[in-house]
Amino acid sequence: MRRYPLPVVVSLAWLVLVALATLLAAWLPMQDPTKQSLLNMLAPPSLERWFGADSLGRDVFSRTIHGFRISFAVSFGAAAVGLVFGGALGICAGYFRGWSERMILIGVNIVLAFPPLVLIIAMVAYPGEALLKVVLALGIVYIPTVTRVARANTLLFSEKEFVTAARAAGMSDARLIVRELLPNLVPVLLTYFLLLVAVGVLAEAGLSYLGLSVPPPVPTLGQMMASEQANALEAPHAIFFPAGMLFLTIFALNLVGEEVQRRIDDRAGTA
Amino acid sequence: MTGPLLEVDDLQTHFHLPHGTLRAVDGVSFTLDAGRTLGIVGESGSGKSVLARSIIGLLPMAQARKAGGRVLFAGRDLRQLSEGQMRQVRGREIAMIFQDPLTSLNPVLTIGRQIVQVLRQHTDLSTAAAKVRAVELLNEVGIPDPKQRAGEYAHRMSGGMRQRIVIAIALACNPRLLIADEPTTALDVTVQAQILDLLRRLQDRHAMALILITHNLGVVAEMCDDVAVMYAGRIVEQAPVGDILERPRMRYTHALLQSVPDIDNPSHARLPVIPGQPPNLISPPVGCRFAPRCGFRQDRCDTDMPPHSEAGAHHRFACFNPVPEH
Amino acid sequence: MAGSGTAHLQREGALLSAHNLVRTYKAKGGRRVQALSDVSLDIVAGETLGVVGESGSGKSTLARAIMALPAPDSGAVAFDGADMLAARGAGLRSLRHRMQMVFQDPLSSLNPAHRILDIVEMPLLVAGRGTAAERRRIVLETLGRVGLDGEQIGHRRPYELSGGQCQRVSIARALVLRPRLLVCDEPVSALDVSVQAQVLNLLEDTKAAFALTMLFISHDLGVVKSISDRVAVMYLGKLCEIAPTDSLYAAPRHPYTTTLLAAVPSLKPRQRTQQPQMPRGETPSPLDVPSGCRFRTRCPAATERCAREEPQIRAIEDTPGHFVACHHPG
Repeated sequence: MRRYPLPVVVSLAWLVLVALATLLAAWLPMQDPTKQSLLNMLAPPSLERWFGADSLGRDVFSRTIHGFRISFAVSFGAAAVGLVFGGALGICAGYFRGWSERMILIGVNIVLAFPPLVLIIAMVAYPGEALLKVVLALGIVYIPTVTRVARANTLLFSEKEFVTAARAAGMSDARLIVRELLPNLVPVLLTYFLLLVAVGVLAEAGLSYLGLSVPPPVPTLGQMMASEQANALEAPHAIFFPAGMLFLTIFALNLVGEEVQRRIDDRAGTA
Repeated sequence: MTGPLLEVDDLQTHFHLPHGTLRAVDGVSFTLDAGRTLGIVGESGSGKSVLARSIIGLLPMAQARKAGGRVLFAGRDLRQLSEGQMRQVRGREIAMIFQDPLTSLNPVLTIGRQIVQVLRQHTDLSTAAAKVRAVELLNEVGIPDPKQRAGEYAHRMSGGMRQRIVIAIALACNPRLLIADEPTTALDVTVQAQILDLLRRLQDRHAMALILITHNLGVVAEMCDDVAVMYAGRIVEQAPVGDILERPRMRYTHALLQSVPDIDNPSHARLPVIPGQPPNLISPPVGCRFAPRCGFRQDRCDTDMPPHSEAGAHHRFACFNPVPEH
Repeated sequence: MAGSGTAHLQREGALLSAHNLVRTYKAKGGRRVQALSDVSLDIVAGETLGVVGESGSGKSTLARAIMALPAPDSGAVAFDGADMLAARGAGLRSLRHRMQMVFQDPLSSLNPAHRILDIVEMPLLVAGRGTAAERRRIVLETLGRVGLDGEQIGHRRPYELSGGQCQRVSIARALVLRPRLLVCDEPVSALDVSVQAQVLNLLEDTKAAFALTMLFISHDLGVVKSISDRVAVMYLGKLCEIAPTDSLYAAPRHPYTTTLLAAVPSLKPRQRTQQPQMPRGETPSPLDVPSGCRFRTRCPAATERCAREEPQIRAIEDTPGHFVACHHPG
């Protein structure tokens, strides 16, 4: 059993806690996140309302937890889209080279030329289910960088002699990619995936702040902060708690991501 | 100046790693006179590169520790010097060249500029004078069109050329000692012959001492006056080159010589083999470190470290059951 | 362009016969480098053919060309009676199984994400041989033949093994399909001297035990001498000389071979009869090969004819099996 450093353990514990809370949100004994209450407008934190209430009297704690549902759905969803499509394109480009590589790289450069926000605004403008749109839009923004990372690493491993050995045994390309290359790419892509998730949580907060994510009444962290920022001085709790939770979660994701990176490097370094 | 140019006395360099202390150099002693060539031979893990870097003080300080011993260069103990004082010595009195010439040269500076840098650091030459001297040096190491080449970058040149440039940089301030760590291992065999010839001629011309670190016994045979054979962090035999090649006493030296596929051997000669692998330097075996692989092992080889015995003038070896004299 | 000749090819008994191989690469700036310039070679069943040369000689490219990994730009390769370069699909796979390769870098020739047993089993899986249990048995047996205990190291990963052990695993992987030809591309260059001897002996033993034919590529003339029956010398993509080992080393006829042999440092320098001549100049860049004979810029015997006309490979009258491509052989 390897010993993990304390910050990583704490981060993992935090993430598990938040993840469980968001997954089980519907069944947890919390206030209804959309229930308004004129009586409790901007109520400070108390035993009943751990994070207090916002300007419409809604429970901030419950809204925060529900908001994280969207954050995680978007960040994991977009990262997965980026990973699957970007990974596939990058591996094709790096393995087959030639014509397909050139086309893929041109496509990557075209997408990268657009400012991400413009791209997302354009895609979100289409009619359709909000959550799906945001996930796809962010995912598409991710694809080019994942493609580059996947291509670079595929190139690295394709030149190694164990790939020649597999070809010498008569292995088909498809089988070679899956059996020989993929296991070596997984660690790098996994680290990159975690990075994208961390970025995605922050990105979703930004998008929902701008009103580009899932619209109300579904609570989203960015939107919470946008609507409460007028009351920042009188009732800081309505912004502080969601922002604080956001910060802690992203920080935890980064720490865990770094630890994964370090373990991968260690293993490679032993070679 | 009387006495040897370099005297290494019970040198120890250990690396503190998470899983233990790696005793890379564990008690090495030898002397080197001015103008002579000493070959240090060993396989990977023998500690020969760490030894070279310990002499010149180029160890990764995060993990390495100078664990003991003295390095007396012209009477001064280099181990006692501060980093600032060592920097005065490096490049000026002791120079070092490495195996891979490409990574030894700065890719973004012209080669002329790199030689001028060294000259400006250690001498009083003006930039203009240093540039002239740089061209002279390039000419001396056999670079054709030296004036033109001085303005070019390293990556445009062949491995042999680059190694010549590295030698030129090393020789810029006329050091008294040159340490060459596997200088020809990465080169083609014809280029190797040229570079070794160059080193020999430069050494004669500049009356420079040379420590040549290599695993190639043929190179040692052609270049060196004296040879020290290292195994697992210690010198196991040391002698003039003729004695080492013709009358090795320590069993490892003998086995190593036998297992080299020499070009003058008959074809299809089956090579006698040293079984097993070099030992773990974090927990080396008690007693003689070669004992687990030695075909002539006796009981006391496992428990006691063999002391150095003499076998004629300047010939020392550490073995309880050596090759018999004839 | 004038061909280099095929006078040295045998008529019968050749397990592998390569004719007029050409392989070009695109270098920076769009210029082309001919790594192999019309090279022909054959390997007799049961022999070990050594190929020596320095960097840029094309020896590694030759190894890969005859295995069609990738196929050369032009030329023909006949292996075990079949046309290697025209084969496709199942036919090609069947040929591949009879020709296996051992590589130079012990670590990068093994997949770091796989365990040793999986690595050695891979060719059997691809060939669809036997059941899982049978494959396992073959793997363990072959590992035993190369001196490794499959039970002990089978579940380890390559970076947990030493260089010598990795090379043994590489050899085991090459042997599981019981190939006829083993192509060794600098198999001991990355190993320590004492481990080198172990692996060379292993190669000799397995050659005898498995009735293999071997193509052994190396830059180390001592190593090649100790293992080969015949030796071919290459320079800048061309074949200079080919002869039985003793004949080549004792009496080289091509000036490049002489230069090469003289440059090798020997353990017994006092036994050399004369002071060897220092090699002149450096190998020209492959982007800019000399006209006619490629070695002429460094050759002490070069004449005007050498610049005009590329030498064809010819037999040396008094020494059977000894061929040289030179206008003025020594």
